[in-house]
Parts: sequence; structure tokens; C-alpha cells
Amino acid sequence: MSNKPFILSRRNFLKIASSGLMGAGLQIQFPSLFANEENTPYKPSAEHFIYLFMNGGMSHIDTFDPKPGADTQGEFKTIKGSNGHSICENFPNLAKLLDEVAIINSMTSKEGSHERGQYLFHTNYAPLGTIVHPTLGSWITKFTKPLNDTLPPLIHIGGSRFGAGYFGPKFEPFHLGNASSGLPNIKIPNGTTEEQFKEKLNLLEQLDNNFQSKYTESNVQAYNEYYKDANKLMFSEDLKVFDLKNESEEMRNLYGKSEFGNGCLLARRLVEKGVKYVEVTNGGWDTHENNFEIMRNKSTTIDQALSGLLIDLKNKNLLHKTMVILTTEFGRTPKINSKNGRDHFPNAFSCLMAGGGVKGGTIIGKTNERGDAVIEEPVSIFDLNTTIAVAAGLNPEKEFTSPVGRPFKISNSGKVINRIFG
Amino acid sequence: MRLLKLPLFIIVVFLSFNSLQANDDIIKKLAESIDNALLKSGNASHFATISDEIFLRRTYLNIISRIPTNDEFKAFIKNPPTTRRKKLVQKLLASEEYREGMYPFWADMLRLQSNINGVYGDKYAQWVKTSIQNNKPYDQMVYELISAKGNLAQDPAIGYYLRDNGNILETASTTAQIFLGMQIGCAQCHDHAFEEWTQKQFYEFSSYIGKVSISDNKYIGDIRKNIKSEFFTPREKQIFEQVMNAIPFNVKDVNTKELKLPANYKYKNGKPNEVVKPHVFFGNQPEMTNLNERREVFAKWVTSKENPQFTKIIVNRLWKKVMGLGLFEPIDDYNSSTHVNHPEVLSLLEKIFQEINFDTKKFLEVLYTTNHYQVPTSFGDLQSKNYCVQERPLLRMRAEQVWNSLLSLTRKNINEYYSIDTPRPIEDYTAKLQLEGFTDANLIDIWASIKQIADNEILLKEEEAKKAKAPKKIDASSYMSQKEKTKELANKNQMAEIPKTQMMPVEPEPTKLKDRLQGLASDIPSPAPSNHFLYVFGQSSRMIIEQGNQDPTIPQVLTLLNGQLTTQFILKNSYIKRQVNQVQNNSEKIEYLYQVILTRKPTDSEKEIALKYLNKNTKTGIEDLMWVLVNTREFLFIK
Repeated sequence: MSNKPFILSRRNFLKIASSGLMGAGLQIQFPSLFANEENTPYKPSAEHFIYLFMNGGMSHIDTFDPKPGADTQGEFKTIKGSNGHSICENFPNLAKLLDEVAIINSMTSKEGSHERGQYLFHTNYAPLGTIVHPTLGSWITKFTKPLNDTLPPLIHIGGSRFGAGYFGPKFEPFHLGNASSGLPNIKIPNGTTEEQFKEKLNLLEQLDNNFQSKYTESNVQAYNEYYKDANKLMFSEDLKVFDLKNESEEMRNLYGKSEFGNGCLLARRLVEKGVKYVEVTNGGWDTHENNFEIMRNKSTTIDQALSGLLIDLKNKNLLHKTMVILTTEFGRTPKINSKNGRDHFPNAFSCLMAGGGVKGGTIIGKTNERGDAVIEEPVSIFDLNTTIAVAAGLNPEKEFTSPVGRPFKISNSGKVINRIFG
Repeated sequence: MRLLKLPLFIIVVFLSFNSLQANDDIIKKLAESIDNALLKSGNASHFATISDEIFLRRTYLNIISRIPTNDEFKAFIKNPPTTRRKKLVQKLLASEEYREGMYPFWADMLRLQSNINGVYGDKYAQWVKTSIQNNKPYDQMVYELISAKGNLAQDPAIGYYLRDNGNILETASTTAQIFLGMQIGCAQCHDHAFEEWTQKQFYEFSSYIGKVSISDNKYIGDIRKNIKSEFFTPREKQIFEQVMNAIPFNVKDVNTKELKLPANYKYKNGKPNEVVKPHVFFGNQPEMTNLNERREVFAKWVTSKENPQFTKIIVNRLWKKVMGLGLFEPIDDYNSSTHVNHPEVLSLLEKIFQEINFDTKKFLEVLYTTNHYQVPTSFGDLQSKNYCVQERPLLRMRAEQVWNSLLSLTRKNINEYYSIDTPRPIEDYTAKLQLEGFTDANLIDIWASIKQIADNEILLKEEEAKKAKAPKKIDASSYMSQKEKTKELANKNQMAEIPKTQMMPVEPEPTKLKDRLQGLASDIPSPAPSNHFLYVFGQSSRMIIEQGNQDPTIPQVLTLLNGQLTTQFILKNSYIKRQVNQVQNNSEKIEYLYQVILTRKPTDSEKEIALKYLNKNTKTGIEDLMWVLVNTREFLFIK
């Protein structure tokens, strides 16, 4: 067995790609991994990503893969969408936009635990005690050029704990607990003017001068730089992006004023300002009990927010370069349990993609009549993540070694879902 | 000199009865032996040494994870120069805050979580803290972890097995890594790419713990049959589910369970699904008469003095904790390409730790007594890849050190923040059930107990609502001194004439911290929430081994500049604020703040700059100065 992991050099890669070996069967051409380092004819199809994660396992039958007439149908009827496909009746707004989105009804996985399933979705690897894998957002922001000087390229809204892993803190997402709160600790405390603040900073520079000039160790210097950057960030015009009050009432209502709606609205504002990757988490999908009442409420919120986001992105001419992904760690049992709920079901579930090169109106895959098995075009989590990485312009087959010497590829053997790009 | 006039035998008797002195002598001798070995190996003649001030701050931070108070500085200086450093080390090692210094060491290594797979892990954390505080010998502690059995109430050390959800291969892999410095995790799936270990060897190694099962649903069926949960209120149901969730966790060895090679095993030296026989891939094979006793035997092998890796790894870890850098790095990956700096010193450390029977506090005392511990920090990055004998690296405070240090500025006695009295009735009840076992009698009891817990919660909420509405009680004596103060001021308008004792404001009632998230670092749930100060400053998320880091980030800077701790708690009505308010003139105020925050006196020019600022900003000057000092790099880094 070979001792060293085979690392594709750029020259090798281009050579192989042009000979058709890597590109066999793939309709999208692999762009260069270091998009900011080299002139390349290959372009990523998405400049921005909005990743909407439904925490807890969103039922597929009660959303995008309804089973009218089957014993697993449950309490909801269907509504026909603009592309002829039917989805759950709780999504009237989304139904009108189905020719803008692609639905994958054949997601399948083996992970039925929340922690492992979520980890797998975010990092494309199964959890190990001795290593933390970077989240997809960190992959994408590490290897693509940032589009804004001041704002962080990777922002998590709503409490997602996944981060940069072995890429190190430089690629750690900015965490926002909720959309209304903005970046934590960014404002000068009440009672201090900007003028006074600057005077205090001046005093700080003077009193710390002895230490800073004597101790030139690199972490000290890094902090010195960050103190200057923080200053810039605090007084930057860009910060206004976090204030949702800058939007009209009409716009607020388009998304709905729920926490998730606010999160989606903030995601659009961030993307508009050049932020690369925004994740918005929404929890409460673990409907072991009382599935239908909960789904009715949550679906209305999601329907409003997601539709608002898609319409808004389209109107602002951002949708074609912003990939929106809505997914969850697994689906829920078609069989309804004794508490009127559905339990964990990784065997078959659904997710949704739009924009950033995605061909609207596409339906990928199929489940059987009851919704408990995938019968066409199975899509693994690895396939989904590979597809997103490729849309960002990354080479999913490039091998990287982690600090302890373990080799990793973004794809983890996943394959691009070609049909989704049309 | 007077002693020499006494007959010799009296001196000997005197010395042997004075065991403290004898102990000090042993420590001193051991420290000297380490110093000498290091000087010899490093080709140096002596060590430079740091000032008392730097020693004080460095040692407080290293042993109890915070900066010293003004009173503590005064107590230190009071001791005669020849013994003050030794006395300080001994005092800190014996203090209750020693736990603050050692707990992150263990929690990071064990990836300790307060919520292990949905089960309360506080008992496990408490076990670790108690073991630390009681100075349980290191080998014993590791033995207890590996051989833990029962439920969390019976043996909290089972948290070690719960951590990886019963995934034996993961537990075996982490055991090899943290205690033996061997990273064999790759071999879970294939022969190791770089080292000699094969996948089969990894399985053989793991099979020592291969019979472990972590959950036992034996009683769950019975309980659920007997408890009609539809008669619970929603909250009672939640409590019931929480209890039910914790009950099955019970670590034991199942005789019929065997570890097998995986179904896709591809090498020629074994067959897929073949049962593996226990075998270690280095050192002597553990003697095993009974294949069912294997965990104890394995634990004994891991922790044995004969195990070539066990002592080596821990002494290097402890060395790193004290000196800032290990003699080999990384500290948990000792492989064929590891370069050991000063190998004679490493061997000596191993010998010492074994001679004192893995007594951690004693070993630490030896290290803190060396002259090498007292060398100055480097100004720039350490130049050489080799371990530097004359300088130590300049390191940023760990997350726990920053937090505890800032907290210590807010109260007179930081230990008031520890052991928040929030009762945990659900965990306590679950523990009670686990200890008693299940009988028909306590099946009935479950119903009543859960209702009781829920009722108590309601009562507690009502009480707190009442308290919040009640008018604040004013302490009579504090009222008096305020009144006097106002009266005097009105009459004389000269503060200097009033004796200080009358002026002193009464220390306000310590507010019971309801929120554990504001307590001492070791009491905060692990890992800390992602918006918590500790997380922002790089505390390990306890998801992987040793993940804590001191890397610079912008959110940290924003937290120091604008966060609540440095703009509210420290500046307004904190202990040091009250103290500085009692000091009369600005010059002394500046000195006090420098002493308490930076553990030194201000230079003349610093004082001049600060005075100028205070004169210009009479209203906010002092608060601004406090804010500035905690925002300096000097505060954040450890000289």
C-alpha cells in the first residue's frame, strides 16, 4: 500500500481533466481550486451560498414528497406547483415558485442520530473522536476569494456549532445567535461617544507601547493587528447590513417577521454586501409527537420565508449567482406512530436547491408509493455536498492532508448531481 | 550558626522530626537534579531568573488559573526573599483553586462534556474535580477510568465510556492517544500509512475493552408499563423522559460479546468477521488467566511502571503545563519520527514521577521549584526548533485564565462564585434511582417523585416571583455609614478629615449567581455555549482531544473592547472599583490599578500619561484606565 497520499498537483489535474478521465460523464467543468491564484477559463456557478438547515429531521412526506392516498399520507393534502409537481398544501407560496427550484426526493443516508447526521451534512465526514472536520462553508471560504474587505466571509445565524475544524480559527464562522442581534459586541457601550472611544484607544496604545515594542512575538503582533481591524469593523458602514430596520415594512412582510424570516432577510442583505456563505439554522423539526400540528405551523413560517427569499433574490438579480440550499439531517418515518408523530428516517428524505446554476423545475429522484424507500436516482449526503462544492468552483477530488497527516477530499467519494445543473 | 553548637545527634533528631523540612529538602534535591541535567544537556552554566513580580503573576496563573489580588501580592512580599517563592508554590498547590488550574488539563484530554449523549455528565465532571483536589495518584485515576463499571451514580468514571457512545474502537483509539501517545486511529480502517501498526493489531488492542456495553434497557420496559404517562402534565412528562433517558446507561462487560474483524476486512492476516484475540502491540503482554477479566488486566497494563509509554507521556504533559512547551511535541503523538529534546531530562522526569508513585502535586512542586521554571520569557518567537533552556515561550492566557482573572477583579473572594447552589433535582433523583436499583416499591415511587419534582419547580418559581416584587431590604449598618458620610460631607466638605473606617462602604450582600454561565471556569457547563466568553477565547469545544487554543481572533478583541465583562461588571461597582474609590489621590489610584491588573508598578512615564488623562477626564477617567489596562497585550500574555 502506498505510503504517501496522492496529491493532485494543479498541472496533473488539468492534464487529466482535458484527457476526459476526470471529466467523464460530467457536464460541469471543474474550475481551478485556487480561483484567486490563476487565470482559468472555468467559472464557479455560484458566488454566494445560503444554506438553510432544518434541525431535527424534517419530514419529507409532509413537505416536498407527499403521498396522497397512501396509508402514510397523514393529515395533509397536496397542492400543485407551477411545474406540475405536487407538494404539501402547507406551502402555497413555494408551490408558485417550483419552476425556480430543484427538489431532491431521493436523499438517502445511514445516519439516524441527530448529532452524527448533522455532523455528516455539515462536514461531509462521519465524526471521529480525534479530529474535527471543517464545515462546508469553511472549505468554500478558505479556497475562494472574499468579495468584501470588512465583513466576514462566513456567517452562521441561529446557533449552528459547526466550524473550521482543523483549518484553524482563521476560517471560523462568525456566529450570530439570532438575526436581530447583529454581530456581538460590535457597538460601543451606551454612554460613550465615538470621540471618547477613540481617546480611550489612544490611551491604550500609549500605555501598552512598552510591552508591544519589546515583545514582538507573532501572536502579540496578530492581536495588535486585530485591534486595528476591530476598530475598522466597528465604525464601518458595512455594519448597517445587520440592522433589519433599514428595510421597508413591505420587505419585512415579504419574508414574514419570524426569527427564521429575519434570518433569511439578513442572509440576503449579507449576500448583497458580498458575504460568501451564510447558514441559517431553524430548529424544532424533531416531531416524534404531534407531527401534524407542529408541521402546519412550521411549514407556514418556512414557506413564507423561503419564498420571500427566492422572490427577493430574483428581483435583485442575485438568484442566478446565489445558491440556496434547504436541507435537514434525515427525514421522518412514513408510518405514523402512536403519538401522532413520525420518527427518524434516514432511508429516504428530501431537500431543496435553487439558484447558483441550479436548473429550476427539476425533480431529482423518486421514492415508492409509501415514501419509505428510494426507487430512482439515490442521492447521498456526499453527493449533495460535492455538488455544492463544485458550484463554488472547488475541485472536490483534490486531496488535502490535515495537521495530523490524514488525507481528506471534499467529496469523500460523493458524485456531482449533474442533472441539477441542467 | 547557632545550630552547629548543638551536639550532632540533636540536629539529626531535629531534622527527622521536622518532616516538612525533610520534604522540602527532597523537593529541592529533585528540582536541582532536573536543573543540572538540563544545563548539562543544553550546554549552559546557569539560568537567568525573573523578578518577584513576574514570578508571582506567572505562578498564580499557572497553578490556579488567575492573576493575584493586591492582598495576595502583599502577603507574598511579606515573606522573606529566600523562602517566598517556595512558600507561594506550596500555598497555591494546597489551595482550593488548584482545581481551576488542573481541571482544563483533564477536561481537554477527556473531551469531558456536561451533557454526554443527552445524559447529565455533571457527576463525571465532579468525579474529575474531586480526584484532582484529593490529589489522586495519576496511575490510579487512569486505572479507574479504563476499568469503570456501573451507572453514573455508582461509578461516575463511566463517563469515559459514555463519551463515545459505546463505540469501542473510538474509545480504544482515544485511550491509546491520550495515555500512551500513540495515534492509531487511522488503523481502524486500514493498515497505518506511515507507522508499523496494522488494522488487525488495532482490533486486537481494542478487544481488551471489546466486551463493554454501555446501556441496558432491562428496566425501561417495566417502568414504561407501569407508569401511565398520559396522566402527566407536559412538564412532568419532560422530567420523566429525562430520567428515562439517563437510566439505561450502565457500563459493564458482557461475556458473550466479542470484538470481530470488520465485514470488509481485506488483508490476508485475518478473515472478515473473525473474532479477535486480545493482544498489545508493544511492551509486555498483560498476563490474563481469565478472558472475562480483560479490562482490569488492560487497565493495569496501561498504567504500569513497566509500560514504556505511560509515564513518558504524562511527565511531558505536566512539563508542558509548567514550562509552556513539551520536551517533545506534539504531546500525544509519539511516533518513529518524534524528536525528543534533552532525552536525559525526559528519562529523569519519568524516573522521578515513578519514584514518587505518580503523585501529581508533588511532581508539580518539583517542577515549580526548578530554576528552569523561573527563566525569562522570550521577546520574539522562539528561534530554534529545539527546546530552549534559557528562555520560555511567551504564551497568551488560556480562555479559563482570562475569564477567571477578569472575574477576580469583580469580587473580593472569587470563590464565592464557585459551587453555585442551584439544586439539580432531576439529576439527583436519577442518581438515587440508579443507586437503589429497581424494585416494585420504587416503581410506584417514580410516579410520585416526578410529580414532586414538578411541583417543587412551580413553588420555586412562585417564590422567586414574590422576591422580585418585594421592596429591597436595606442593611441597617450600611444605611448608617451612608448617612454619616453624607452628614459629614455636608458639614465639612473635606473628605480627608473623615477617618477611613467610617467612610468604608459595607460590602454588599453577595448575590447568589443563578446563572452557572457566570461562574468560575471549571463550573461552567462543558463545552461552553458558542456565544460564551470561554468559547470565544478558544476553550476546547471538547469535541476532539486537546482542542483548546490561544489563537487570536477578532471576536475576542471585540469582546474585550465592548463586552459586558469589561464594560459593565469590572467598571461598575466591582470590588476593585470600590477599592480604588477609597484611595485618595490619582497617583495612588494608578498604582493600585497597575498592581492589581498588571501585577507591577507603573513606570514614571506611564504614570505621567495616566495622570494627564485622569486630569482631563475627571468623570470617567478611572473607569477608562481600568478598561485600558485589561485591553493591553501585556494583560493578555504571560511574561
